[in-house]
Amino acid sequence: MTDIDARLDRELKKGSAELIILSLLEARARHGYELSKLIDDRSKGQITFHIDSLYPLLYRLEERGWIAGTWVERAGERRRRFYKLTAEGRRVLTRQRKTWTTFVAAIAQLTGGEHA
Amino acid sequence: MPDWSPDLRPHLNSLRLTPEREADILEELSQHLDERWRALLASGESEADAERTVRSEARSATRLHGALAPLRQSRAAHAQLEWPGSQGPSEERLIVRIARRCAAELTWAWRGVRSRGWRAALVVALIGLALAGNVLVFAVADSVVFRPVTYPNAHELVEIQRVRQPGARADGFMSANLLDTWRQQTDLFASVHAYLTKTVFLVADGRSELVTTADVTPGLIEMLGARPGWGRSLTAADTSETGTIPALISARLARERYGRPEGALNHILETTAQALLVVGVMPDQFKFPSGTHAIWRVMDPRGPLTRNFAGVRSIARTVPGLTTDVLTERMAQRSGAVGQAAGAGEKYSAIPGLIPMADAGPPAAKVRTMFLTLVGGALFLLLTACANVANLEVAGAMHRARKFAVRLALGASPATLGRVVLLEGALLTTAGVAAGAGLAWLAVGVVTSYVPVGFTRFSVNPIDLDTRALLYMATIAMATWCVVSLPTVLYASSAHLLALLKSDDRSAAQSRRGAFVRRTLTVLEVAIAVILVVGGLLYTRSYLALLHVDKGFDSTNLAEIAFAIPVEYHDQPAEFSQFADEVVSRVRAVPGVLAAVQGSAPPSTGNSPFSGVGMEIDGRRLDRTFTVGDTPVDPAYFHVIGLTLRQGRWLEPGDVPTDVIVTESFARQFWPDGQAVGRTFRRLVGGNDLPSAPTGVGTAEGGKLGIVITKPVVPPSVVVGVVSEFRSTRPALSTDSPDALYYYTPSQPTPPAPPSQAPAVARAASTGGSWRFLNVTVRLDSPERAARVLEAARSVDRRLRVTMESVDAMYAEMFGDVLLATRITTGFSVVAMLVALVGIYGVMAYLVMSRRREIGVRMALGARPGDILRLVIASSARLVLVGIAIGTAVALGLARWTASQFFGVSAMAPGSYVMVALVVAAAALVATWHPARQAARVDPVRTLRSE
Repeated sequence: MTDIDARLDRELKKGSAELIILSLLEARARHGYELSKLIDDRSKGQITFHIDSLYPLLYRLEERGWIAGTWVERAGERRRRFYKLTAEGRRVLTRQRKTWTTFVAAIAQLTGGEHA
Repeated sequence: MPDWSPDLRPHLNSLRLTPEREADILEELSQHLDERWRALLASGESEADAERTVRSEARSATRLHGALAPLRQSRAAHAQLEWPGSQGPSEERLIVRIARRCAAELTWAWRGVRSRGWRAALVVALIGLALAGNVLVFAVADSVVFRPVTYPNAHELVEIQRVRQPGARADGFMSANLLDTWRQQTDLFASVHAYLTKTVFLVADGRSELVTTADVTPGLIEMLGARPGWGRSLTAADTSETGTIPALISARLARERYGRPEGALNHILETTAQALLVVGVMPDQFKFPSGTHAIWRVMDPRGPLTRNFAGVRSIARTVPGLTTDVLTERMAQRSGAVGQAAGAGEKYSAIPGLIPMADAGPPAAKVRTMFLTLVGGALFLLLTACANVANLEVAGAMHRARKFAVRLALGASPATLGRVVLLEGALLTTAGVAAGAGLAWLAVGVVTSYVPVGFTRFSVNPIDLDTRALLYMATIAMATWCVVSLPTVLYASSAHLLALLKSDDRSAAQSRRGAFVRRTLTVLEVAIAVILVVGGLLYTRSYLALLHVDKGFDSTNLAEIAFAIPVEYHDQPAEFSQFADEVVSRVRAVPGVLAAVQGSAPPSTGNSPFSGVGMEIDGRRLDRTFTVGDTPVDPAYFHVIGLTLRQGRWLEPGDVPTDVIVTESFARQFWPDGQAVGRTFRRLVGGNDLPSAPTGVGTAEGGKLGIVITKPVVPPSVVVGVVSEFRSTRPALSTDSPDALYYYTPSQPTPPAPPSQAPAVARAASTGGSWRFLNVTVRLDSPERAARVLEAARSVDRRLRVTMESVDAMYAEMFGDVLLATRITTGFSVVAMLVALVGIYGVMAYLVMSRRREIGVRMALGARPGDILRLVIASSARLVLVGIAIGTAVALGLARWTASQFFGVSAMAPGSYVMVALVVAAAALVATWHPARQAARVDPVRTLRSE
């Protein structure tokens, strides 16, 4: 990967990280490791979140009230912190998803090559 | 399972998380690493390899700290603070929620204060210094000049005075009948009371102690609006008490004698005359008729306590709403009828006069101008300090506006931010006020211990920390805060977030108007500092010059011993004479005493100069009055003092009391032809036509109040000699009263008779209130002898109060007002200087910060650190030089106007100004040094990269 590639990758990740997390939490509540694993698996290793980028992001989203984290205890297991989407988060997700789709379509149009 | 916390914890350090929060994060991240470790094991790695990999990942998570840092403040706030509009847990009670919100906002505010760093410290220092300066000046001015009387509705209190003819001196004394008749004028006066000032000698352990006392009619203290803090007040029934006299004493006296105020109640205080029964204790703040009075005895205007006095003094409270003009007119109209009804033979006109404390006394009048100037200066100082605070706040405003904008975007309401900003202001102001109050408390303590007694004796309002002044100043500081800070919140809430985030500090710093305002303020501060430092220097030099003024005689090791002798002691003439001789001979016997002689040393304290004395010269009465002092002296007196004879002869043993020696100024005043010897004069007491002589018996106010007058007309005095001049008053200050004229009479073997003319057997019936002085002037070979000499004098009669004071100290006290002015202006100029330096520092530090990029460019283009240092110092020097120029010009203008306040130093002398300019410039350089060094250390590469 060239320098420019690496930078674009970083910027893209930065711009889409919130959307990714919110999307993954849409279906059900998940804990941090599960999220990082899911991202890694589903992107086939293209996008990875280490603890130093994932958790600050989770805390930031939580602070904004878009997601809510709670400690959940199950019999015979250690307690784990699960994050779920709040109503506000759901609204934000809808909005971001729309913006993203528009954005990607625009980029595709701009970068997909010109038609005669 | 490995423990990951040692690898994670370093990333969380210094984030200042609460312990619970930190534990939460640690647990969550550890679990993440556990899962990762397990996944690696499952993929076939060995335990050791998996652990190494995960640990390395954990350690390399260096962005964790940076990514969590911006969250830490709002996170804590979020955890506890519910933004307006959000729903809190329903079961939580409102009061708890409000308390939590307050606590959260306070925490926010505290963090805001902390994030200011050195600026917060400067703000606190500025507010503290300015407040301390103001409170100090107000405390002294309020007590000495503005508001000497603090009784409720003091404007209703008057003294009923009498004038025999228009323009003549008012007489405050009246008979009991007259008092009663005025009391009946109920349409004018709500109540009329009487008092006399006296001196009582308390006796304890065989020693007598002089205590200034007032004899008051029952109800007078209540009329003033006061009451005892402990015990009861004086009642009408107390006046018929025999044996002991019921009295109130001051809390201070009670503490001195009995440890605590209430401990004095019902105790008997022995005096050289009738004993006193303490029925009540007055609180510390009560003063009547002046601050020195510590005992108030009950008095019947017709009773024995008024014996020997030409009546009583009155104090009355007018009916509410009566104007002074109406009162004056009605009193004049009724004077005749009231006098007739009271059976007074003399014709007079009654006028309402000021009560004794309404005027702060002559010493204070001298410094009135100085205080008014200082109060003006103090207010100006407060304004500049507030401007400095504003300056510092504006400097960081853009940065804060961005922070506010982010918080607003996160859901905080403008009201919340406004409250937080106000809280920040409250925190800073409170710290400033606390620092200021502490400083002022220290300063007031220092000043009051140095204020000459003459200033405060007449003031009923003590010099203390005035809470009103403190509150007033704090309000001004807080208002400044609101004016400066709240607009930032409004700006942040109205501006577009993105635009704000894009803007940088320079746009605020380099706004032309902002820079101009900041520079103007700095120039003004420097100018004020120059003016005050010049004032302080001129006063200091005046005081030093006064201390070294030519006294007209050699004051080296010259001292005066003064005995205060109640008339009940040594009351037989022969006994007194023998006592005086014994004192002189015992003092002379002390090794190291070069000479000792009966008579008071100049400036005369034995028989204080009387003002308003009418004079009859060579049989002809003069129209105006004079300040005249006389001292009975031993013929050897002049040699001990070191005065030289200019005309005639010295006094000789066997001279009669009418043979006198006058000073040169006395001779010049009355016999301008230079032929004083052989001429005659007579003193007319009070400027009226009663040629008589004060008996030497005085009262508390140096004989001015309640002086006992003996009627026999004295024969005229004959001048036998004229001696060289000595300086008895402060020279060359226009506000000063005219010099007193002195003459000396030969001390006679028999002293003046006690006023009562009472035989020794009647001593027990004496009511106290009168005393005599015995003054002995001594010249020592060294000041160390003083203690031995005093002990020798005391050994003659241990019952008596003896004091000893060096003549130099007496002169120094005479210049007390100049010393006070010196101390206050000097102290004040130091404060002004500090404020100016803080201002210079703030402006320069900010200048350097805002020009960092420019400095970086200059350095990148080849400028050396030395060049940058010079650049910053030159910017500062321009401001300082303009400030010095303006300050010097204004100081010169003021000096022309206040030249009369200074002595022995020209207010226009260039030396003082050059010196001040150099000192201020040097101090300014020191204040600029740190910012200049910072500028010189700018790393061009880093600065430009960060841009």
